[in-house]
Amino acid sequence: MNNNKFEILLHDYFDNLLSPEQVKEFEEYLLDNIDMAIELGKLKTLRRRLNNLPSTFSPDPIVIEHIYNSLLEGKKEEQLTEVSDEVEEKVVEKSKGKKKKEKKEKRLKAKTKYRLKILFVVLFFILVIGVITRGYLYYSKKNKTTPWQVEMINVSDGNSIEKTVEVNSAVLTSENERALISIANIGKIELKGKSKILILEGTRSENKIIFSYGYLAFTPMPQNKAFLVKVKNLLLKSEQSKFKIVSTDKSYNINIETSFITILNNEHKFKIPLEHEFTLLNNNTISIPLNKKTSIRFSKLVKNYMLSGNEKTLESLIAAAGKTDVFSLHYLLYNVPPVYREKILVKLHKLFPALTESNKEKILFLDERELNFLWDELFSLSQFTR
Amino acid sequence: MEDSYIKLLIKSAQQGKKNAYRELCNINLKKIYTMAVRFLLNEKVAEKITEEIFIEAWENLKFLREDQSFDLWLRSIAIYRLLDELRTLRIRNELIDANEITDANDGVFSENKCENIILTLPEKERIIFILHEIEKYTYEEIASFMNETSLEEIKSIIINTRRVIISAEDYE
Repeated sequence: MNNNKFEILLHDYFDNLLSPEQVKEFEEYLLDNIDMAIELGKLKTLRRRLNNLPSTFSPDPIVIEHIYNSLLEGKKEEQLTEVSDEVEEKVVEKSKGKKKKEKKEKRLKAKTKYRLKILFVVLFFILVIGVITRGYLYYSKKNKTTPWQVEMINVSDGNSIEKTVEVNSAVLTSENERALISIANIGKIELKGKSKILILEGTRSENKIIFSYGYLAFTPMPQNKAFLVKVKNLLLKSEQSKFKIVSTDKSYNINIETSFITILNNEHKFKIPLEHEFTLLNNNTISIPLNKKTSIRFSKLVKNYMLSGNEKTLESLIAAAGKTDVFSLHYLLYNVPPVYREKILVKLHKLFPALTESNKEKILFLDERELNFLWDELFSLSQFTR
Repeated sequence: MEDSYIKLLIKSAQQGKKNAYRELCNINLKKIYTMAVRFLLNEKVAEKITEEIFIEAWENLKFLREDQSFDLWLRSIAIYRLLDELRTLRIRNELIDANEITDANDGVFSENKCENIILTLPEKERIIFILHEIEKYTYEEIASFMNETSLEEIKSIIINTRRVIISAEDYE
């Protein structure tokens, strides 16, 4: 009786039917009863074997066909063929292998269908997003109105007319005219004398113009991110920079008053900081940018070097450079042979001993990232020493 | 938890897509068929009943809730159908005064020793043992399937059957 009670307890323990207290009590009992512990081990072995019981019975593939046919016929029950006939058995046996293969293929088909469905849904969404984007772009392009307010002032009589302009239209001023253009969130443009600009893009976030000729002064607003001006084949990007462009018969002079502008041409991207000016040359390059506060000697040496390309002048120029001329030297890095790049680097370190020991080799090979890093450092150091 | 592929198949089948249900049958066929053979001890009858189970499930698929497991749902249909079939066979055998199917297994043989021992058990012990130890149903769930059997009886059968199998000479 006692044994029977413990056997029931053993099975309850094995089936997790005991309370935590009973489990504790029974486990203590097991410690003193080796036979019961062996029984528990046998039960565990049995369960393990049952859990790993292989499925040794396989239905005839024809079962699936019968189910499917019943579904197709809409019958609740379908008469199963009594497969007692030996001949039929043989036929079924022969077709077993083939049907197994078919079954596998059909299973694959369903999975492929599922994948195709997912793919179709993804493609559909991409298509919808594409259509919406294109529609938006088309609408934006079609919508030519700009947030530009133009005030045309007649200098001689002081009369003024206000007007709005559209994308792809030009703003022209004559000899005795002045145009004050206010662009929402971006800034202000002033045109003077005989000037012409063409608006390529004019929105509250992106503004791009072509400067043809004349006088243009741009003053940004604090929230302005970028203002783009195309002059010949060069693209000037102002990031919070106040600048002026004045064209003469032969050249375009660009004067940066605050922050810096970025010049993008096909080969490089240069940044020219505030208080510098440069000229756009005929071959779509720019002159060596000069600081307005540079010495007369340095200025003359730069002009001589630009005209002659003489290496002795270049050496004198590097030697004569002061702290105000570091960006002229930085610009020269792109345009001089490696031996002079090295000399420029030595000079820059002499002018700013606090300058980080940059990767000389990379600069000598005009690595864009390293040159930009050097520029940023020079910019912060020169701002600090102003 | 059923994977998203199975869920998609169920959803499609509920919308009347027979190919999706065919795929569900393919996935679950062997499992249901094996249970049918173990219950009925006759492969031909097991095939017929398996077909009927899947057809019954198809007809009732609309009642399968989203939060229900298809596997559990299908197995419960199968168990009720198989128990029903066993009852019918029992009555028929009583009428013809034979007891071939219920008490003796002369048609089904497994390559696995342990399974063979289970297949030779008397019907009630075999069914209760399969439901508990292989299909993992609790005593209460088994009692709900087999109305005429009490919880105590089920428990006692399980304990005795475990003892029988463990001590079976062939098993060790």
